[in-house]
Amino acid sequence: MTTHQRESLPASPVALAALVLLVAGGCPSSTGREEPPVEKPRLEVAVRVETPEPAALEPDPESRPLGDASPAGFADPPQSFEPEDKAPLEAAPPVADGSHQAPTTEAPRAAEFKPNPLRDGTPPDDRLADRAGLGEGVPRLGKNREPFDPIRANGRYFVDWPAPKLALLVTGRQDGYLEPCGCAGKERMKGGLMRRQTLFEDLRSHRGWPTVGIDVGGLVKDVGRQAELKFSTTVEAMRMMKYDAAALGTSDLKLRADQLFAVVAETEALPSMFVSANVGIFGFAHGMSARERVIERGGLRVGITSVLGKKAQAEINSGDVELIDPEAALAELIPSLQQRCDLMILLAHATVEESESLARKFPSLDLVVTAGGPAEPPLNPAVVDGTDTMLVEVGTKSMAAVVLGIYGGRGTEIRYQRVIIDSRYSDAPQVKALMAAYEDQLRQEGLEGLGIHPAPHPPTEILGRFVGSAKCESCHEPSYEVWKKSGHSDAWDTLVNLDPPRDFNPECIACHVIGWNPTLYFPYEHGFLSEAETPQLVDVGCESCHGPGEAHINAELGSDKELQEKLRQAAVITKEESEKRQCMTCHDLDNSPDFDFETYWPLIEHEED
Amino acid sequence: MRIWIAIGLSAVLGIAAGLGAAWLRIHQAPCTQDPLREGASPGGLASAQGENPPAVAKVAVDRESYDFGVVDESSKGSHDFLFSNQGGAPLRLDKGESTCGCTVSKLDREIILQPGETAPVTVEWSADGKYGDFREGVTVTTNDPNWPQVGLTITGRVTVAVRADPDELVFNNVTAGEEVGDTAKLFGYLDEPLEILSHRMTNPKTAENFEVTLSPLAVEEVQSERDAKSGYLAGITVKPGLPPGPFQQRIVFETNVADVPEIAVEVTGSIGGDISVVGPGFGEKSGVLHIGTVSGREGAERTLLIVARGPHRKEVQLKLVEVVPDVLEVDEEALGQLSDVPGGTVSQAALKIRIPPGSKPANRLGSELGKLGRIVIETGHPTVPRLVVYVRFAVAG
Repeated sequence: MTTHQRESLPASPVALAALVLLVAGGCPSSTGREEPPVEKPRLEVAVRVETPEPAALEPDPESRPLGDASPAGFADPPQSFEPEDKAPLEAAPPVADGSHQAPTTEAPRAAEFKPNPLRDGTPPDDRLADRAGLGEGVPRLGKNREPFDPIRANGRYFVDWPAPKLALLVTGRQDGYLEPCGCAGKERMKGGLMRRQTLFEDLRSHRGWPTVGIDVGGLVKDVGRQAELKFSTTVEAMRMMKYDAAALGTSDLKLRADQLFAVVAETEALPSMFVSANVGIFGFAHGMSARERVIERGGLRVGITSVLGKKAQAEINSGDVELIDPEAALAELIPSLQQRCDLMILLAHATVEESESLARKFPSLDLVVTAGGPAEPPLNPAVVDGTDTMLVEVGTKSMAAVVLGIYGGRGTEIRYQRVIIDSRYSDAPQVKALMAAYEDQLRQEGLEGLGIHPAPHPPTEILGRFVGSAKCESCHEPSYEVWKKSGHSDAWDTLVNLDPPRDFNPECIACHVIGWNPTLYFPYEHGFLSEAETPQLVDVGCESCHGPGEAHINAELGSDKELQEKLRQAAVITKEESEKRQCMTCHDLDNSPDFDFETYWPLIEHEED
Repeated sequence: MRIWIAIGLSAVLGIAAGLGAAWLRIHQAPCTQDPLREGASPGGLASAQGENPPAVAKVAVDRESYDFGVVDESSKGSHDFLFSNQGGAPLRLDKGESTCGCTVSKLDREIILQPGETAPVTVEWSADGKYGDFREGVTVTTNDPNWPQVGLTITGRVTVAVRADPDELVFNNVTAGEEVGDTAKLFGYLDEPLEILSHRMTNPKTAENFEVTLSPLAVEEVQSERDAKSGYLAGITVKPGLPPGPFQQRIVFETNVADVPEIAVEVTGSIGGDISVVGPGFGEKSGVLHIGTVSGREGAERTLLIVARGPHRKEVQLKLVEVVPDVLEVDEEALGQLSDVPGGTVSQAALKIRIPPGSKPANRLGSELGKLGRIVIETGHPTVPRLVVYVRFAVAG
């Protein structure tokens, strides 16, 4: 027998009769265990898992139509989202990132995959020739060579869902990813605030479902001024999405309390979405921290609170924050909350183990959302062992959301849908405007305002300062030409031409200029500062890989042969070294998901005698 | 009567059959799933064929998860998951999406299994420097109507040679004359004991404001960290003298480990004032509370906090001195109740500002501070004796 088979709707009459009994109310407990029914003043739940519709064997005429695939390249699928049974949303204009071909306006036709031109034996030089004109007729290189269909990859959502009384949209652990998993404009990537707003609109406006938005916290990952701006931008976007409750995560609480308080404090004039049973910024006495909340929607009363787990509390080193033991805080609040709601939810910014423990300690909780767990939430929901409490994981980087359909009344079901926030959801223009404002704030703050200062660059002691790729051309013309034809020579324009531009965003600049640490987002001394101050250091230039060139140039102009040879050898990088230490620092999975070293290496490979 | 029962039963059964959704009984998906739930052997899988399978594709897999145990951070690996077709029609397997991390499904082309056939699907991963518990997944899509997406999970634990815990220390709102500190543990996980050979600050401009002490970790402290064999305790102190605003320092420790010659601890934070005003709508840099235009009939209320820190916070006593214009009201009683944050190192009092309902029209909008409303408060603090909060507002008639 197989180890795992899902129970399909049974085919035999006996099984169907059992189903009838189930429907008629002879319903076993939701856990299937022999035990007396638990009397609780709340909903009993059974769980129906909505599995995505199977991928069609033949091209599905209702699937997202792919644009016309030219012989030399692939068009991106149209980016607007069209709910299956509703009138199409007005398509948001595609993000002009300079690296994608705009979707065509031809009549949609069935998905058709074309062979990767790189598999036809075209020699590397010809591939270089194909790159004339970024984004036009350019082969899609890399691991994922086929056009991407998000519905084929991730399935359809809410298939056969009757309209619920209430839809809970659960998110969390954004980890600073305001945009899909690192970079802009990549259709395979997941998440992002702009798409999330479209998901909310789908539920509220197009499906007409009363929706409650909740978040388990972790909006940012780092500290510092840029993280503060990310936090306030995210909160503003979440206000647009009309979130009802959000927890504070560990990383959020590492931001400056003054800045945090200004954004999260609850006042009558400016209600806050944040709620915490056991975290009070500047304490609880001022009454500006909501500890719990009851939301009435869809005819249901939903009680929500949140806690910061003990392990997370140990990471908070702030004299500005009052922390209460999570169990003690919940023991205080839950009895009262239980009396006032039909459904009780805990947002636990805690490990999975701690979240499970809280669910067992407080079995009246219907749902616990945990900040623990791996990168993506599971396809199916889980129930905490020994309880009837559903445990929901949200994954990381807010790549996915979980939507729960609540059908209201006692004994009804909760439907569960993991939603990968993929490219079927277009970029909502209102949130895009916020993103533009965020980038503009980064520009106004500048590196100084963001607290970013150039750091010493140890190789500078031997290799001198950065000089810019143009200085290399006269002696290294063939290599320079290889570089000029590669994407590295356009790296700066890629940022400038994004919508909105990212040319003042340190997290983007770091991999698009000379003289920055690409993983820690700071400049080295004598590295790029701005296009105005250091125009010669834009793009991923020669020195991005070979190190500063000043000493080498000076040696070549001198007569010390030994020094010349020493510095020449210091600049040599082998293919193995490149793969191990150079390329992947920028072309990582977050920012360059299609990157395949073996495919891209021929485009930049060069050597000198 | 019987025929009506039969018709009713048929109708209900027909509706139920037409729903097209799969039921998952909760007890089959407990939260504490055994990640190493074993499956049958291929021989066992093949034996199901003799039981008249339905004429649809039916996917089976020998296991849904694989634990690779403990590996180091640079390791890569792969595992073959054995898929079989227990149905009566061809089974198609295709690559779905993998988690945005280390797992890749080596399924470059669609696999078609005839009834009874078995084939491996290879999943590869790379630890890629991720320390700790590892759990990533791939999805294999199928044309089995009952199991269209098979989720495969890879678990394990990634170790490193050397690690700093934590690797970042944050000290926010340090007052100008205050000295603060914390510790980081530097763990070695190799048999050869870790040695810290030296350390340096990467930001020389502020290096003199940071002090580092090193001492070997006690045996029990090393043992409390899973897989650690040796370690040091790095004490990091931020000394007075840093300018106001954010600060950042990176302390790099040189080790005796060939593959990891250096590890770093980031120290970040901010130097703030002893007394600050905080709250929604208040600009920290401008010192202006923005209320905007309010209805004279309804009025408005805003609440800010005055926060006191540092060695003189116990001396702070807040007293209202001036409110301009007189349409603004301040709750003096609340202002006088400065209270300590339990478990914290700050005290706070509420600054409640009110424009009462029925207020006469007023216009204190504009860009010049002198034309805005203002609230002046004496603090009793030796170096910050007075606070001024400007208020930008207008009352419409």
